[in-house]
Amino acid sequence: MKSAAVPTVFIIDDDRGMRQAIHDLVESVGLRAESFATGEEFLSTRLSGRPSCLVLDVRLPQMSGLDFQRRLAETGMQIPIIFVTAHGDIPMSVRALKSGAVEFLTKPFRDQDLLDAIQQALERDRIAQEQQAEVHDLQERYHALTAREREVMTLVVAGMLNKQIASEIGASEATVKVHRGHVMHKMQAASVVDLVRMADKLKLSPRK
Amino acid sequence: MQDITDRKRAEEALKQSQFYLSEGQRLAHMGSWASNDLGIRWSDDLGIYWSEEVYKIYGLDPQNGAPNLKQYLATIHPDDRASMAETIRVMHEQRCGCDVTKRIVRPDGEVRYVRCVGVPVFEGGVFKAFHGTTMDVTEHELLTQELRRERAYLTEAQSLTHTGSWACNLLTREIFHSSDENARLYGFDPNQGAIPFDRFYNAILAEDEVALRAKLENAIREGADYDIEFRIRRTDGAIRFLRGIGHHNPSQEIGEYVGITMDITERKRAEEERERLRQLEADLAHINRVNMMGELAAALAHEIRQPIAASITSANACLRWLARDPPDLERARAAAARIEQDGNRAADVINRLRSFYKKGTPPERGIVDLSDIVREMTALLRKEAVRHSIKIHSELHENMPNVLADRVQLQQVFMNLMLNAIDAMKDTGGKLTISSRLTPEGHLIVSISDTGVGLPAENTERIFDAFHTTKPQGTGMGLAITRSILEAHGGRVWATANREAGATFHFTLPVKVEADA
Repeated sequence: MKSAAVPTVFIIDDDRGMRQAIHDLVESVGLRAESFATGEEFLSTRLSGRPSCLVLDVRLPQMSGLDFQRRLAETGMQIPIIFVTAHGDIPMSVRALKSGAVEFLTKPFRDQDLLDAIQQALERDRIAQEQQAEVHDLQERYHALTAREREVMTLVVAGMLNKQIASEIGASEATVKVHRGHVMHKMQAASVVDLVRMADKLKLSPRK
Repeated sequence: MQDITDRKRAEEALKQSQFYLSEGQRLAHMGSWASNDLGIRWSDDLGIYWSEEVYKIYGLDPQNGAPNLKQYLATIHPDDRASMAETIRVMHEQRCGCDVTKRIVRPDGEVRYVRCVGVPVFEGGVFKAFHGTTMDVTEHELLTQELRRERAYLTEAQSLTHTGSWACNLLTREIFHSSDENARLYGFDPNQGAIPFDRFYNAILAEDEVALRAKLENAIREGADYDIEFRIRRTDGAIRFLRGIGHHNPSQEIGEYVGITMDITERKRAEEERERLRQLEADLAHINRVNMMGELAAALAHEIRQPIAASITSANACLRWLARDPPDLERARAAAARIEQDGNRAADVINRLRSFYKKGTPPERGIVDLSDIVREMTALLRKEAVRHSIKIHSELHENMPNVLADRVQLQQVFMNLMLNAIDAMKDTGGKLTISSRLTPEGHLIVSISDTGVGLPAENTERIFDAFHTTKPQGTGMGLAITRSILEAHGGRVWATANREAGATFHFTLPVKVEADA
């Protein structure tokens, strides 16, 4: 886990003065800041594993902030967004918040409002990353299973007894027991309930 | 001897008087006739005497004697023959007179109009004979027909154009002529006989009558023609716009006029409609201008908001660097420097607005005659001024020197200042004066003065600032732009309160020196 690393706040604002000011404010509270003049520049950077969030100006020259938000969602880049604008209106803020924005601030804003929003966004990202890391971990374990073991895991999760599984896959009950032991071990599951929770996170569809 | 002489003399006199009579009849194309009785059967002898001129009128030979009834009727034009026979029958039976005009056909085929007047003569209550005259009235009849035809055309034309003709004496209120259409314009029936002057005059609306009377009295006094418009209430209650044009012939009696009256209601309505549309257009243009200025203001507000927001955020950051333990002075200083930059940036936006004209479009300078511009702008704003009862008056320096300037921008300066002046007098009416003079230093000073609401009591200088407005629909840009233009031309603008009422805006422009040419 890299959650101990300093979180990063990305800033996209075409106004240089505004960009520098937010950048500096973020650094003054001990966070990392990276700022960009355009959305394109930001898209070309790779997100590190550390928690991050994006402070985005709504009226970017090439692409509006709202379009950029959609574009990010399309590319699968998951990052909480805080919108800032010099001329926001209510419909615009509603749209932004509905699309998952953390906060919508009108310039000039109170610094504490922005910093609170940043904290909230980073927390949201930390949780999301942890969940993602866990899923990633589970996926690795799952991929380590043999085809037979995966089959057995699916049936165990579906609530079948060893005897039923044996008849289902055409093997002896003893063999099923061995497979089941491997599954529990490789998946690091403490109990069948634990295994069901993992299957849920892996979004495995139980066999009929 | 003596007797013969007297008789001779009497004969001579008789001959003479017969000669005069026949000569008179010949000249007048009038003959006389007499008849003991008029026949009732076709072959009857009329027992008639015709004077020589009657034979001439009928183109008959006196040698053949007077015609009998059948022969007489044969001379009558076939279309009139039956009615003439009837006339003779009635005269014969009732012993009454006649006055008929009929056509005859002469032996050579020529058709003539003949008027025949006859009276019965009684002696002691006993009928003796008919006496009468026969007149060739062909020329008269043709002329009458011609007149009747012309009159019909004229009437038609008057009714088509809703124009009535008349002749009257406005002082004595006597009407000499009033065409049918003239009566119809007022809703009167022309067949009801002559309409007295007062019935026409009383139809005029009371609110128009006073002004109308003044104009008519003035015209009468000066013996001048007039052209007036007024409204009447027609007999059916409808209000109509009329235009009256009267012409006075100096050789006529005082107050005598001939003229026409036209119904111009439709034209007036069309004019009103046009005026309404024009007003709408002007309103729309104003709204457009306000919208455009609104957009400009929004754009500027955004531009100013950015640096202000940035400097606030930088100030927050600065405070946070200072609040650290130990304070990070280096970062705090950097933040403070950015605050300064952003503050300057905001100021620049405002400066840019003021120098909009200096940098925006490069002015196209040329030699401009200010009196031309004043004339153009006066013509352009005349209607607007008239609508608000404002008189535009110019007192320009006689030998006003030309200036080197951007013509369009100067037009805008005049337009802004003149519109401001009109706005200031909108509710009260008043006088807009444009004057110019030369200072001893050779500067041209133009002053635009109104008699309106005057300047605000405080912050007089602020009226030239952008977005500063005292008008509910003002954009606050007019005077700011005016000042920018004038300063870009090396001039100056200021305002002073008038001693009596209103304000005067003055501006200076450097005069083009000969070397510039």
